[in-house]
Amino acid sequence: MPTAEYFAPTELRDALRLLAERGNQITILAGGTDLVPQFNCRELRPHALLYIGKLGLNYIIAKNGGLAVGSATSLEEIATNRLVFERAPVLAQAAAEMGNPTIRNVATIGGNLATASRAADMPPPLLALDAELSLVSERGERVIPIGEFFKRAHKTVRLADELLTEIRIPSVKGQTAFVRHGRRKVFSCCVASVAVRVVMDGGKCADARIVAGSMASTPVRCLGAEGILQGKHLTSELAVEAAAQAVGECKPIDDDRATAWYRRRVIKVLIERAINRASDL
Amino acid sequence: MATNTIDSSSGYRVIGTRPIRPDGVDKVTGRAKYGADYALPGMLHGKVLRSPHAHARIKAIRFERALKLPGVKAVVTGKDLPEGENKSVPLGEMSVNPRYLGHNILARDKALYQGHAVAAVAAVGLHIAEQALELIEVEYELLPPVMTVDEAMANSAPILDPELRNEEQGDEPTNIAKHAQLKRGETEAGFKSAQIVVEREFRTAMVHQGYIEPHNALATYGSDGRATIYCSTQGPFEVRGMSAAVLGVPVGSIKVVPAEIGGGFGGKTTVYLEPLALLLAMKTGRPVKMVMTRAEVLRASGPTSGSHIKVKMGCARDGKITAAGVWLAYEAGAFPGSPVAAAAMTVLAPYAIPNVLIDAYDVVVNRPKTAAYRAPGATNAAFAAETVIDELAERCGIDPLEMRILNGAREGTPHPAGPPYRRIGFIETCEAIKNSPHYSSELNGANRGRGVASGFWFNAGMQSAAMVNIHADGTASVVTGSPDIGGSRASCAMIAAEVLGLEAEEVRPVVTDTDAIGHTDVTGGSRVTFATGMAVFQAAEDAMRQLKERAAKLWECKPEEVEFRAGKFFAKGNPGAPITIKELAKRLPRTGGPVSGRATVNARGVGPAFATTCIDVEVDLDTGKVEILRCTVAQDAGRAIHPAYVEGQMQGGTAQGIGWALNEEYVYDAQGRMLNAGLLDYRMPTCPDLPMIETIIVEVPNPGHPLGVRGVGEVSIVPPPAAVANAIYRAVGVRLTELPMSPPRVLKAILTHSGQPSSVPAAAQVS
Repeated sequence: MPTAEYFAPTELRDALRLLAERGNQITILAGGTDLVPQFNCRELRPHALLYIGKLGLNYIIAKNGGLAVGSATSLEEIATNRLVFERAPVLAQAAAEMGNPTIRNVATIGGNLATASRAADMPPPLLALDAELSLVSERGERVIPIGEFFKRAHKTVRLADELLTEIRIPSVKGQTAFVRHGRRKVFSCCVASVAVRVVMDGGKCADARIVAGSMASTPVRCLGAEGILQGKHLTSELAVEAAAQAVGECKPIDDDRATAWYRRRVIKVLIERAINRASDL
Repeated sequence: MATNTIDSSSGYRVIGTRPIRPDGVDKVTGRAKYGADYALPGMLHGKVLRSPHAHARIKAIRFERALKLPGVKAVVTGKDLPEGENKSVPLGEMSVNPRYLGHNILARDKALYQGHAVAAVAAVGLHIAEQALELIEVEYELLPPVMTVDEAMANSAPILDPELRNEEQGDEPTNIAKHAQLKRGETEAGFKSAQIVVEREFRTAMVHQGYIEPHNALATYGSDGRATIYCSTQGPFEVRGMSAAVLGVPVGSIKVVPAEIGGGFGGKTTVYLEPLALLLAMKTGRPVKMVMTRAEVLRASGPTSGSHIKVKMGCARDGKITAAGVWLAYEAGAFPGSPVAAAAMTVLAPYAIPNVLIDAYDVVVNRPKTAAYRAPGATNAAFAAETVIDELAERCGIDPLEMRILNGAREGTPHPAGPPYRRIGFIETCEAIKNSPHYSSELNGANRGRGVASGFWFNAGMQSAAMVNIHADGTASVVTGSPDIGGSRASCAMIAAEVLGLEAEEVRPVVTDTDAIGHTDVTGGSRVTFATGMAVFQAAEDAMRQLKERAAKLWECKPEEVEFRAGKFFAKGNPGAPITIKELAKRLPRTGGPVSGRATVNARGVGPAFATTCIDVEVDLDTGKVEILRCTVAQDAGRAIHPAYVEGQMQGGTAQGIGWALNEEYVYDAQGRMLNAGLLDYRMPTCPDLPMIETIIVEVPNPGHPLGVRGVGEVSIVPPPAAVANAIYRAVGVRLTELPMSPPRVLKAILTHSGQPSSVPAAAQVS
């Protein structure tokens, strides 16, 4: 069994150089909460590890009325940071409910996205907030909407020479809610999760985001359901209608954690509850 | 929170108090040495190659390439173990079949479950050992896996062991290792005289004890043929006996040193790695250390049985139960030996029922060989019986606790499988719940319900030895061979302190190795504070007798003239002032040398344990999720030596019972591969999932013990699944008959019950 090479650069340019030269062979390591168990169980045998925890990518700063979050920022920091609390409370809540304290202390927001796990907790709130991702390489930076990032389970549009360096959350209006359903209160993978944002204008819903997580291979934005809310007074009946529409958009899967049947039942309830919570019904 | 219903106005000075536990500081500061902490110079690391298949013939094992890998010192397979005798030999709490035990340690011609050990390697480094496993080629012929008792009992079922026979089927190959029957009275007549009869069918999933510390062993073997095994175990003497049996070496050639133990709950009463580590040490002449991963623990240690149970019970309109029929089929795992016999003897044990017929089937399936788990067999069966009793109570319009009190076993009631009970405290546990603040409180709110259930466990006696040594400063040590998994060091120290007139902190409890103390059976069956405690009590009395002799020598009087009161020795009419044990200790060298009390027991007079549990739940009608709102358990401890650790046992068992009720299960795919072999998806409850579990210690002293002690370690796990099911019924009107009562299963039951069966998929796949 060949021993893996290990790199822990302190300069971003060194990391990018390495990715430019050998990106295809490199496994990027941040908190390691997903990768290390795979190493230990021999499910993954990395040739080379690039640790990105020393690149200065651990930050949360105010930017253009929104936030810029370094990809190596831990979920515990996101869960407890005052800026996140003020500008993206739905993200703070999702981070606070993820895993358990020991996992949150090391797991990073970038890792939670780049792993592209179906059960990830960060994508639904970030989609609801219209977040953008910065992918940097020696070729330069490209910024993409998070909705374009996930291709399928464990596969994103990140190219081999690119590094996810920053998550940008614009200044967005509206009230938000995040609801997850796991089999335990803590330390439990999502069976289903929902992030909702509704923008109210003159008592009517001017804009909405409804994002379902852990349902299909990627997070699903339920455009049809959002359309149902658009321009209407929000009532619990309307929430039921939107939720029913959303279920059809989700295309849930069967896996070891739940059947598609159960996911369909649960996601409908979660969407209703999230809409009601976001709109204070 | 905790109340003693019978005040121990017993005059005890130490017993019944709550001193700090003697092993506490070591554990919270990291100084306690657990099995995996041991290391020796020149030590090799061992790893096990495990079958990826649930059922396969092993046609060939080729390990030459592994042996050639630099750093690899030995590879062993089933051929390196002698073939054990195919018969039951008594060993500790249970009897052991050496052949099955050996075949479980290393598979012979067949792999019988995913994770079954096929070969083992010792190498100079852990990673080299792991790498060597990948160089071993095993040729398998795949066979169809048999995963449930229903599949295994079917006529055309694939057979796991072609040599397995049972008495009823003659020479016909079978997966049914044993059918046992318990019978009293005439059930047919009993059901005829019943006005209400309820008949229900239940299924429960295989579950694991979930101890946090994985199995481990470090073995050395000397050129003199003497071996030492360091390991985490509930039974060092069982490890010695079983390892000797599996390896064909004399029992006396092995010394077992029990490490500090990170949980057992019954799962550490047998061997997995211990004989393997020793076998590798014998081959290499070097110490060999082996530690399981969590996935290995879940796949290849000993969980407890999933089961299929049918219960029929009839009662008169006034609630008096007239007859009960119970049919039990338990998964034994890959080899015979499920706890179904215990299930049969416990299932109706809390009740006086005149007509009883119980059928019990021990069935082999392609799952890991089951091991003991806290009141083994009783919880599955109580889930079924206690649910049916709840239904009878409801049909009769009787409060479920009154139903239990009406039918409850008392002193003189014949136990279904044995002589009449001596003084027991079952009714008292029901009364304690009835009078509790919890049961008296109102439960308001939608979809909320309150359920109760009761449980029985035999408790065990068996062999124990103890020594009590008086130190030069008048303090003492208590030496036993009982590994401490639940606070028993504290109770042993307190018992000795009580007798010797010392403070609990002045007695140091020591758990020693198998060469340093008389044979002591497993820490299991809730027996340590009862039986080892009895030995400690007698050893302390022996020390006290010797101390009185020394005082008599000093005072030149007869030993029987010496009295011990309030920490001081007196002698009638003696001119010398009374002296304390501390003063006397200083004089021991000149009065005959050290004082060391000894006692050994094969303890009789076991007092059975009963518990009654009350649980409030709230059911989420949309997701099927069940929230435990409040939980109170009342349990008869006989006498609580250290009430805090009795409460700890009651809370721990209840927590495990709730996990069993709601979420825990082995999930397998169609090929018999376990899908949730990790603690993320094998979901034990976490602290936030449970309320603070309220405890009521009931003390109905056991007449068979000098201090009234009953075992307290196990029975609290028995009632919770039924109590939760009964609470769910009161909340939403649906009776759940399968464990775990997971959200999808509860949701399906609610939808089916509310006339929306079309929205429920036909396939019962639930996870």
